[in-house]
Amino acid sequence: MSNAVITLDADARQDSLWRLTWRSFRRHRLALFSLVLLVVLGTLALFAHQIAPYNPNDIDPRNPLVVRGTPQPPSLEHPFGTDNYNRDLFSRALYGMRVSLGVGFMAMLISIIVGVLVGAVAGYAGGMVDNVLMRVVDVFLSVPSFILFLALNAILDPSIWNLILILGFFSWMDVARLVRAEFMALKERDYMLAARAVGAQSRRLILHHLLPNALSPIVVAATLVVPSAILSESALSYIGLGVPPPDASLGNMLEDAKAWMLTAWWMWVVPGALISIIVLAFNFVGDGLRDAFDPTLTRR
Amino acid sequence: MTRFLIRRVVQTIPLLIGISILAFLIIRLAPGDPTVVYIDPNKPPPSAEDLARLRADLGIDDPLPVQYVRWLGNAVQGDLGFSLSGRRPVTDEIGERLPNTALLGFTSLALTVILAIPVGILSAIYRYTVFDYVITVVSFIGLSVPGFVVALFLIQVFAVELGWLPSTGMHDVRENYEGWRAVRDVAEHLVLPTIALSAASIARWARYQRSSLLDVLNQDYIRTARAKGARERRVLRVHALRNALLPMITIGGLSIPQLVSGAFIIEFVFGWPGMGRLAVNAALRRDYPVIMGVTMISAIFIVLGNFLADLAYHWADPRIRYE
Amino acid sequence: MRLKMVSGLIVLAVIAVLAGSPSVGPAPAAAQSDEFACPNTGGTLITAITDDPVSLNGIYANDGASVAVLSYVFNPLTLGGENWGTEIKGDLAESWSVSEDGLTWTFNLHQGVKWHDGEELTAEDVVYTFQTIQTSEADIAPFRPRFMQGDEPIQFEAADDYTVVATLNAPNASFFTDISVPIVPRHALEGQDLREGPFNRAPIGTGPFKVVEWNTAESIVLEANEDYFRGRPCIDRLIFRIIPDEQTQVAALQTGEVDFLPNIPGASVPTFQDNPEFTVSIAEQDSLFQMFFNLDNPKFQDVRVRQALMTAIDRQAVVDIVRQGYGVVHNSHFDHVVPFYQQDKLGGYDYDPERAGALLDEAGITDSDGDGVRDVDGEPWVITIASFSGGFRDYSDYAVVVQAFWEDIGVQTELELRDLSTLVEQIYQERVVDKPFEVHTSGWSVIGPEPNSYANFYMWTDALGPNIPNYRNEEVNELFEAARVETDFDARMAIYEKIEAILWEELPTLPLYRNTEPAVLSSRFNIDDAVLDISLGTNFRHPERIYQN
Repeated sequence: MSNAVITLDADARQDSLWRLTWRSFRRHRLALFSLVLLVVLGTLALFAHQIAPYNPNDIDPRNPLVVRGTPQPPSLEHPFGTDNYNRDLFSRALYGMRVSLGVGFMAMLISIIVGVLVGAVAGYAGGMVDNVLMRVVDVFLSVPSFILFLALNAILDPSIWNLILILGFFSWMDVARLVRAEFMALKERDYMLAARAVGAQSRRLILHHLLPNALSPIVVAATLVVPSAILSESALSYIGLGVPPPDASLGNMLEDAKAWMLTAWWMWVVPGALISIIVLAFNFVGDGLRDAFDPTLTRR
Repeated sequence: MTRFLIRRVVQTIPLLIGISILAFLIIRLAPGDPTVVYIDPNKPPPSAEDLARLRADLGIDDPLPVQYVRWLGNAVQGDLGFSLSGRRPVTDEIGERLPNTALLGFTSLALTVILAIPVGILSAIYRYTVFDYVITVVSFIGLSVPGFVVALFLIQVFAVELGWLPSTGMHDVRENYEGWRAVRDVAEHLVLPTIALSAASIARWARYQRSSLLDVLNQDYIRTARAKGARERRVLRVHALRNALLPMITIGGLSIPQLVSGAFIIEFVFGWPGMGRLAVNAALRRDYPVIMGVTMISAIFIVLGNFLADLAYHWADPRIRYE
Repeated sequence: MRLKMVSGLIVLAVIAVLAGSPSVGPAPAAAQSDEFACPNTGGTLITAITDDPVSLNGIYANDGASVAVLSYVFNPLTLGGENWGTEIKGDLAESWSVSEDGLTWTFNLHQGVKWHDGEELTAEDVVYTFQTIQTSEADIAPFRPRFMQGDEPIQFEAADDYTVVATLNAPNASFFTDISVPIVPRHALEGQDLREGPFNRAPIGTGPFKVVEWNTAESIVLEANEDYFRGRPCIDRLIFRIIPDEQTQVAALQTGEVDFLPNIPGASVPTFQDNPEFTVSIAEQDSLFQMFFNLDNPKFQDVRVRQALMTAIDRQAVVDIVRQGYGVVHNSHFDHVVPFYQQDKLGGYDYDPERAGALLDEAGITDSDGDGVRDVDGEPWVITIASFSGGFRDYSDYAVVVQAFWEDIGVQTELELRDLSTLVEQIYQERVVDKPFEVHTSGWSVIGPEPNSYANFYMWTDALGPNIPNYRNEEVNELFEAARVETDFDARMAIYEKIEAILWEELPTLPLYRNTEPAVLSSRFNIDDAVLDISLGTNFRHPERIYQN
């Protein structure tokens, strides 16, 4: 089935892993589109301060013309409408995106760093070290996350940073397991046996051989931790335990919209759609990356 | 292999003890204690003397190691303590809620398996066709809309607007159904929460199944089989599917804990009387015995799930050696 | 407006009649026949609560869910105390009298009142209930302080099967409502483990309904008490569904899985407003939402600062934004159900941001560097507001609005949310003077019409009490003590009005508003005779008179 042309041209450039990956990724249209979308949204969020027409927490207390207590539908002045506090939803959406994306990314960083460390050591070392580390992972996995979360929430005062810590704290276990499984499988691959036979040192083996090849599931996992953290944040906000008011996050915007589902659809459509789009986009990108990284697929 | 098994079983005990210590410590670190159920911020609180007396009576003033050892001693005999916020033995509380969560969990798992695996397989076989793209998009939507939004939407459409299904709870309280009618009643109440709960996992499983089968189909031995002239159907059935299904078993093993810990948000929105709500309410009310009980039950299932998953890894890929 | 005045007048009238002849009760004006002919019998009314009760033992549990259920199961001796409405009259007590010196109270019970297990109610049960509250070690009776005089328990005894005599060591005008607690049966509880015994989940009371089933996290089923002394309830069953999410409760009301909700979010009212399948009633709640200062914090020790912060808030805006208008601006530190409350009597804090700013300037808190934020000694002047996270949305909602008003006059604020247990420990339990909070948003409800019930909130004592702001004012202390023993009704109320005026001037707390609640009932039921009254745990004055249309 292969229709690859075999060439013995001595000038054929050796494409790096990243070039190959990028080329393959580009072919995955949905993934590419999602990546562009995320970059756009990310930029908007980053420059929320400059772009937002209003202060997102401003309820304009002195304005007697304001129709208080009733959310206003989208209009020229307020493209996404207002909530019952008379706050501009477009501005809140921008800042909310910033908070949610920020929380997602930071939580991802924490979980990746901790997870890769633990997983790599466990997967490579094997034996007793692996056992102990995996039991530690199990211990953290076994305590129902909500109980852990509520306890941590009570111990550390609720704030965005603590929320990031806690969310990151819940995701590192899966990353660790993933990395460990990859390392364990890769460890036994032929090229590893060869490298070891030649006498390569452990550190070189890990850094130069295992990690780059394990990178693909790590990157894929990273892109999937972000949406998971964002979804967790929105769920927690729904019951009032997420990002505390008055700051906006996509999750607590949904919570504000709870009572207004039928009478003020714009209050929940905006954050709901944004969350879904962001999560969707990350999933597509992750999917595209997974396909792109797979060397067997690119050879077609 | 047997040595591995025995070693794992033996290691489970310190593991469970470790889990119990972690849970015990962390919930104690949080401010507040079980006497919070007596305090309503809207009303004058009880006197400090009464609260102190109750604390001494409940034993929560004793040094932590003493409290822990006392709990452990009772727990291994099957006495998980008494819930102050529920006024019942913890075993009663858990015993009543666990089946409800398990029911929801199993149904969701069954729905996931029945829907996701065939869809994933078909997606892989007909990859890059319109069918595949449509399935991809639909499953990703299932993955990305937050579960409670799906739940609210389902309630609004199917319960309020159409009136086809009930919006809350596990039973109809107005009527007292018996026998088959009661089973049907529970089934009706089960539909919406199951869909809300499964939306994400169906999508996830379908994607995994698809990529797993794709991986297998690109392996050399498949190419060999095709080169030998075997028909595509035989290639699939005899060689590919078996290998593609193995990772799903692993994922299945990892899903077992869900059966026990429950998806709190779904239970909350639907008012489903399950373990998720029990755990959260216990945490909010600092009901230490219940928290410990729920944690340990959940832990046992997670350990079991991991164990099965590891076994599946080993079975699936004999190259992974367990020393 | 009118409803308030009318209800206030009625209460005044009842009390005036009662108090006018202090030695004998009840008032003939309030006499009503207990005979009620049900236009229709049968049916099941379903309502909803958000959480499981903690316990259904009437003398131990005081949380909202417990009170909602056990109010149907038990009767108190007298009404008008906490959880038992705004009318001061007897329930199990058919008549009563006070001795000339005010030290001996005699209560005569209705005869032929049956417990749910068939036994008859006697004075022994009443004495048992009160003594258990005073002495029990096993559990915490939140009402205990009301049955004590200083450190001494009030003496109760059963003179005969239907007569209870109480002996005080000083006159106490609030005694009548202080003892307004559910009466529990001695024969069922004596010798039982009160904390872990079955009574917590399967209580026996005298009330119009009895507990039949409690499916944890799902429902509590009550059945009509055939022998209820005020007449068998018209409906057969009353069921509480436990639905934690407010929105799902509203959905359940729409689908018919729930028939009655005593309060729905203002945003959901339009759905039911013009719908013939439902009747919406707006009921005024005996409640008060306030912001509590920590007066030991030097920031708030200047009264001008407190007055400025009060004047900076447009309280009507708070009601409009947070409650969608379902609330009333409140002008007192006492609930509106006390006899001397008048809506427009006390004022002076109308929304005036300029004046608020001027007051702060006077107090030395100015914006010296013109950056829009007031500062003191070069440091920005920041107020931290503590509120509840999780389900107590009302409090954190209005905190956000108040934040906006304070920031508008240059006061920088930070909002800190903590969960209930944390705040309970840090604010409500600690007797330490340096409680870690500056301003706390909270409120209370259904304290009742007896002004003495509010004493604990504003009196400074050594015991742990709900004096959250750490308010110490000798004069207020003395006035409360004096009012407690004053027997002349008018003189008493005059003393309380003095206290009211002092508190209004000093503002240890900032009273913002009280709730009105939209209650929605399915049109299949009729509550005209039952009389909706959400200051009662049952939400109805005569729950046995609910009937199907």
